[in-house]
Amino acid sequence: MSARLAMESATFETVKERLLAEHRGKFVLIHGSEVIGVFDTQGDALVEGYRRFGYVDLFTKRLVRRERPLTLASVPPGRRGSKVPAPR
Amino acid sequence: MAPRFRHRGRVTADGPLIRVRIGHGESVRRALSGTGLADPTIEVPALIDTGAMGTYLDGTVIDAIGLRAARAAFEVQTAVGAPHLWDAYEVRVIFGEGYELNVFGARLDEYALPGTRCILGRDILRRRHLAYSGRTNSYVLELD
Repeated sequence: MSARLAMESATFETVKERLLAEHRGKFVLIHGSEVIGVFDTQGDALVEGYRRFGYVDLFTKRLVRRERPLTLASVPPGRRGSKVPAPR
Repeated sequence: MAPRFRHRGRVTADGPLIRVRIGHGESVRRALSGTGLADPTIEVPALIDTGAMGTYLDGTVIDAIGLRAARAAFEVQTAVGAPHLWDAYEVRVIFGEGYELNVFGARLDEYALPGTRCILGRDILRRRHLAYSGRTNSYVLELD
């Protein structure tokens, strides 16, 4: 995870509870430390982000209490992706 | 009704492999159409993996196309250890002569199966049907 995306993930954590209360199930778009908006679909969020900032890394996330982890049963020990602790 | 895409393949020593092309996702193409955005696609061998919930891409594929992360918060549980976050990317997976699916795939930097640079999981398989024949050691993939 890039430093920018780590910052955006931290920004998300600071606004998550407020946005969850108002926009549960929708998608938030964050750029740096700024919350750009909340959108009905992830595609809408990305299109808005790309139009504003060009084709750059963006942070979008669905507003749910707890995201179910994706499973990847076939990854063998010692062959995992970048190890960034999940927020709790 | 016939599927929009149908492929019969052999199951290799590495598993059921299929050649697909990977390209930019729909959102960036929609947002930046007409701006001169390069829109390359890369053909890669992909593993069809019923043990994977999602799509996974080798980092070399992501870098070669120039994909940008669209969602940092893919939380992935592997066979060992606790869930952790992986960068994710919106991509088009193109089968055959042009059947396309838009999906979000997580980046696999430290993981490589021999013979493949992409894992196609149940996010794609749920589109219709995957059948395996032990007698002929072959599979049939159908997608809508």
